Amino acid sequence: MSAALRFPASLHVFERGWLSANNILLFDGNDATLIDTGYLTHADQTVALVRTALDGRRLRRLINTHSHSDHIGGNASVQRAFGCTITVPAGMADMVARWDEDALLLTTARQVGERFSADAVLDPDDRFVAGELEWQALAVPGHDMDALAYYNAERRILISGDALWRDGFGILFADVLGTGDGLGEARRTLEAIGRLAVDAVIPGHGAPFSDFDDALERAFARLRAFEDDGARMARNAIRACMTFSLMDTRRMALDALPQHLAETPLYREANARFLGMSPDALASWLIGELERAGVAGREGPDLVARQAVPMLR
Amino acid sequence: MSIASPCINICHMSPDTGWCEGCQRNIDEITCWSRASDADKRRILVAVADRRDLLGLAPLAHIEGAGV
Repeated sequence: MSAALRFPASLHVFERGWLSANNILLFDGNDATLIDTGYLTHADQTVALVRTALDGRRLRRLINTHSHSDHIGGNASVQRAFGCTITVPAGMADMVARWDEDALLLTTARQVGERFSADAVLDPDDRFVAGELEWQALAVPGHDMDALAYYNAERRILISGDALWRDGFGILFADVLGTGDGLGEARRTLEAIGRLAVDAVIPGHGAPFSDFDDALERAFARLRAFEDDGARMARNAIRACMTFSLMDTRRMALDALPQHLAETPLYREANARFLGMSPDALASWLIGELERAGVAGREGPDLVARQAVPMLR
Repeated sequence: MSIASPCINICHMSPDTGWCEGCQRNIDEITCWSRASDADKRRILVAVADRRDLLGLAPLAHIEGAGV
């Protein structure tokens, strides 16, 4: 099958990988709006992609779906390159203004970011025009409690961020860290977006897709599995987060892994709250999982990232 | 199933070749990927395979099944 989804000519999706979220560029005549900017270490490529697609038009505004490093990492670079304003979901404005690296989950998962200032905010139910389409901001808490999705009712397009992927959704950090009811919020979010008429989803990661109902079914199944078994959720979070880290750093000393797992808040909390393993046992299990999935392999004293499409669910 | 992107999350453009150091696509090929037809995606993947060969790199494991 496969006819690529046909989006209006005013809407361009740059499908990135997993370390960088997808970027969406929307044109209104000579002006453009960008949604999400990828991870910090990929920012030069993000700027190059945007510059190529702009082809002389002007990037006026950058909008984020949520506060995580793989969505906001290129914000500062993109603003420097194009002089655009930055609009963020209202719920994350304060953590950005204070550049609270804990709240932004940078320290929590040993990720990097570059500070930027927001010029404007979007609240749930706010509307804006981009790409000659009117978008409604929808609250989609769960993966990120302040996240927004953007919905165009006319063309039935949903920009879902990490609230819904073709196969799953982003880590439910609040449950893993014990800071909130991510499972309950994710369920309410899936139920709410499940009531929308949607022909095309542009997710934060992976190719845009049209099988919305099947994706919802898979997401609900995954959510049920997590509701039934917190340890499974914790293991998935640890695997996904370490996969992300390895994509960033490419290698890590095997010897250093137990201490890394014991000191990095996400792994420490996930283990303490759901697994109760010793750091060494957790490290051995994790290395085995990453090798089995083809995400990483041992090379001498190091754990090294492989090419395989990683499991970031 | 649609044709998988060759992105391997090493997203830097090489100043020497003008290709991404991870997936060996040029900027135009990355920019247009989501809008490209299956035929165009296969053509890009063939070019990627040729460029990796030229650079002495192993084929990208996860796109072997893409029919190239």
